Amino acid sequence: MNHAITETARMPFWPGITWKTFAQWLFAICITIVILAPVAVVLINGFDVAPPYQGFQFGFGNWNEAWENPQIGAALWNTVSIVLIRAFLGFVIAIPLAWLVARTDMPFSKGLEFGFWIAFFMPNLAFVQGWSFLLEGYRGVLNQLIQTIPYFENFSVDIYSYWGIIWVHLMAQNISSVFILLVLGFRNMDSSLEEAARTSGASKFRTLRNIVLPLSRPMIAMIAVLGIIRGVQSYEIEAILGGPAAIDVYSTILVRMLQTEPPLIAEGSALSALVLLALVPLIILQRLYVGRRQYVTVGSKMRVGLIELGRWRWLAFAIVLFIVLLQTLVPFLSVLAGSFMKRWGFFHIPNPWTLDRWKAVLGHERFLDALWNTLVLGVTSGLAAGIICFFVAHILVRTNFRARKVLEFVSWLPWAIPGVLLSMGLVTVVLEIPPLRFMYGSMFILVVAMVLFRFPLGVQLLQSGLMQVNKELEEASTICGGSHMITQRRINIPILMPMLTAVGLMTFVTAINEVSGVVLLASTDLRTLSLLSLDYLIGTQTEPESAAVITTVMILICVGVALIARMFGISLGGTPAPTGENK
Amino acid sequence: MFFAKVRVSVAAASCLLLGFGIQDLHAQAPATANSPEWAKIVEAAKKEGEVVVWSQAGNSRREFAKDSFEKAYPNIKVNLFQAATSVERDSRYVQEFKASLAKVDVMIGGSLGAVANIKPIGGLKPIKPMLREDILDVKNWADNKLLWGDKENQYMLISDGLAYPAVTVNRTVKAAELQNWEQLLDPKYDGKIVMRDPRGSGSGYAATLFLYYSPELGPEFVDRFFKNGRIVFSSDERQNVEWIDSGRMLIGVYARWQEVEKLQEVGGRLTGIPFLKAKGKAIASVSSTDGIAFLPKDPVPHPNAAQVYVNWFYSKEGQQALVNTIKTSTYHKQVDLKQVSEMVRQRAGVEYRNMNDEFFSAPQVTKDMRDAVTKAIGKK
Repeated sequence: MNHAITETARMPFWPGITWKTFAQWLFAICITIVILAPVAVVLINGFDVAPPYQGFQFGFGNWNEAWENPQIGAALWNTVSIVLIRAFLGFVIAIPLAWLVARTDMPFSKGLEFGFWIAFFMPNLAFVQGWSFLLEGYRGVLNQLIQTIPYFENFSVDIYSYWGIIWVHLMAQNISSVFILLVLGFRNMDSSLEEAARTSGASKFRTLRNIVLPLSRPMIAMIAVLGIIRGVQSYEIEAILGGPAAIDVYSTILVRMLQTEPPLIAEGSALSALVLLALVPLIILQRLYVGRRQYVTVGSKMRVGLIELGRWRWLAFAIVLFIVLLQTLVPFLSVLAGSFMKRWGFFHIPNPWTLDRWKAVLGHERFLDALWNTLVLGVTSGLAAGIICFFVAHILVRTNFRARKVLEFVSWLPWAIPGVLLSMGLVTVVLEIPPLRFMYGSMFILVVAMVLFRFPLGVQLLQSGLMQVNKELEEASTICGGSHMITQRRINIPILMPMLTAVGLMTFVTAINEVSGVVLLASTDLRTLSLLSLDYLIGTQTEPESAAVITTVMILICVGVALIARMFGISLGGTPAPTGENK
Repeated sequence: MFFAKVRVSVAAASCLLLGFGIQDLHAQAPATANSPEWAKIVEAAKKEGEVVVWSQAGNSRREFAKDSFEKAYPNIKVNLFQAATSVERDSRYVQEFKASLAKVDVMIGGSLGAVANIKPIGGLKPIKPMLREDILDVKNWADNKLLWGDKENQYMLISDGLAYPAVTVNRTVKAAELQNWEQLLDPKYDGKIVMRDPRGSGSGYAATLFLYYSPELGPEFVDRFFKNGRIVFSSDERQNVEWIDSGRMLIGVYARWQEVEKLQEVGGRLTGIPFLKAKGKAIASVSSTDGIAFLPKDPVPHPNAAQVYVNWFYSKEGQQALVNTIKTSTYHKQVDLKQVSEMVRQRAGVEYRNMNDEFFSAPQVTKDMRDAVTKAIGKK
């Protein structure tokens, strides 16, 4: 077989190495350099004690300052507690929802799943604006409505609080992201085990607890670690809702350091290095936990059946629908309404509605440019992320590549450092290495950043997906004469298509919505919609109504892409769940 | 080998001299707007067709920096970049300047960061030689003098002076009773005073520098003022005034008056107090927020357009546009100030301190204030 000859062929100038091994090393080294270079810059900056912009001077002063800052201890504690609480609540809510959608005969489950995708696509800001509109302690519309009810005259829920932050996180992407990842895993699970449990007399709940959850361990462990690491660098919600309540977290302190006059880049880098070091054990723990076990759920005789809920199916539907509406309609309608208001939330003024914001924003000369840039960035990043993450996951799961543990560890790093700092590292690398300067401010570096931002999720998702696919399928293909590429194209890629699509779409959405990570990377000429909205949202003169116009456009793009993906049969709650034997 | 190196050095030096020669020729400021030299520069600028300007965020700033100039010079397009803060603008420029990638003709806005961070690394070019005689004529400016933001009197000509109202208060706070800075230390205001973070750029920074370096108040006042996180920080000026109006906050320090006026137009019932006293003396600060243009080091992409831009900026027309769009107060005597609220104008009987003085841009001055705030916030 030609492909076998090619894969085992030795390199002429290096006979001990096959071409395949060489290609793996080359790919792994390139990926490692791209990831490690900006991270290394951040770490090195932590040891730079020279005054800002004055060259490099080695020292530990920044570490001492970061450690001695009295606010940092409290901020780190807030970070840990918020991340753990929202991760826990996110799982408690999302696991039953995902199970209902993926493993039961609940009505309209595909439509509801699509609803969670839409929630996932919404920019965080839409949730913050939407919920503060309803639950702002002094002006919240919902607060005012409830206060009209007898005995509730003094009722007031304030979204600008610790629990307000957790609530908005849950409503934003906490539940929806966990749900989406779990559904992908649940769908690839052989139902014969559940059927066996049911036949043996186990209840639905016991089946969920003893069969479904243990089988989903790699997925759940991966999501938990991702959630915690990602949660550590969450910024927007904490920054907006935490300010009035004097709640600081790691990311808000870090951004403040970068915005200080002059910017405390070195101290911020030292703080980030501390957090990065704290996250390393978590990554190793996850690796140890997942690495010891076998989790094959998709084999050549895989069956995917649905559990019948009987009379509970409509109640289940109502509960899931309620949560979907909370996550989608509330923020979307708030943002849409805001875009037509003369002043956000001011219903009491004469003629509060206007089309002026839409006319001004859409008539803005840069709008079409930004729209085009955004689409190019989204599509290119989505495709690149899908391809690169698949190759990395394949090396990690399906090869004996010697440095795969290093590669896996490296794949986590982009999420161990906040996006704004990672971008700063990337910019520094590009500017400090003259041959790379052509990349500065280009679309290319934005694509690299977008892929990096979603890299840990993409690799972990595809890695756990590949772990669930029995290797016997690939072996069968090879026995039938299929080359390595044909095996990937006809076996792994079709099975993993929902996950590949998910990775691509998540990267696309990141490209649409990301603000803090791209603001330093984009040149002054290359603006995206998110950066255009930044002009209206950040700084001293904000215009949330104009920002709402752009947010609405961004939501419509994301939903439009999701709908197109669904039309073409790509799984966003639209792929029919296989019900028979999957051969 | 040695001589080869010398030859290279001589050649390089010749090129540099030639380059400087060209720049010197270019930098010859024409006498007046009607001079043939000026006409040539304008013509050359029209051929360049574009000027790259870096400003700060905000729609009114866009109206001024781009729309107003393009109206005056329809053949020169402004490629405007608006950084969220002056810190971001300065950081970006320093990084690009060091890598020889900077492509900006003119920068506008706060000067302290630029004096502290860009000037020391040689990233600025003197603006004085680029300005026409009629622009530099002291008769056009308040007190018959030019106010500079740098000690060399070359780089940063200050054209505006905004006297922030010391505090803006909710309707439940009796403005007449609030007269002294010390009154803000009353525990009833803990968690009810909002301002921009003093450790960033902008009004919070200016306010706290003023408090920290005013002998009547000083470090001790700053320590008590910020103690135990009693002051809420928020960078969104519009949100801050809405919070003051709704009662979430009762007092705003150095709130942006333009935002207050917009809120008042739709029924907001908050008022401003232009200055407060300290030890019996009426003191306040005055800052330039938008009225400074400064020039990046050559080579710039559009040198002629840059020169046209800065001359327009400091002209009567440019300053009128600044006043009409940003509602800040200019020192240019020929400009009509009727669009500027009395609240942000300087008034008699108050001692004003210029926050654009180069003293305030010294790194240690900033660091001392910032450290004091951080220390105070952590105190119980």
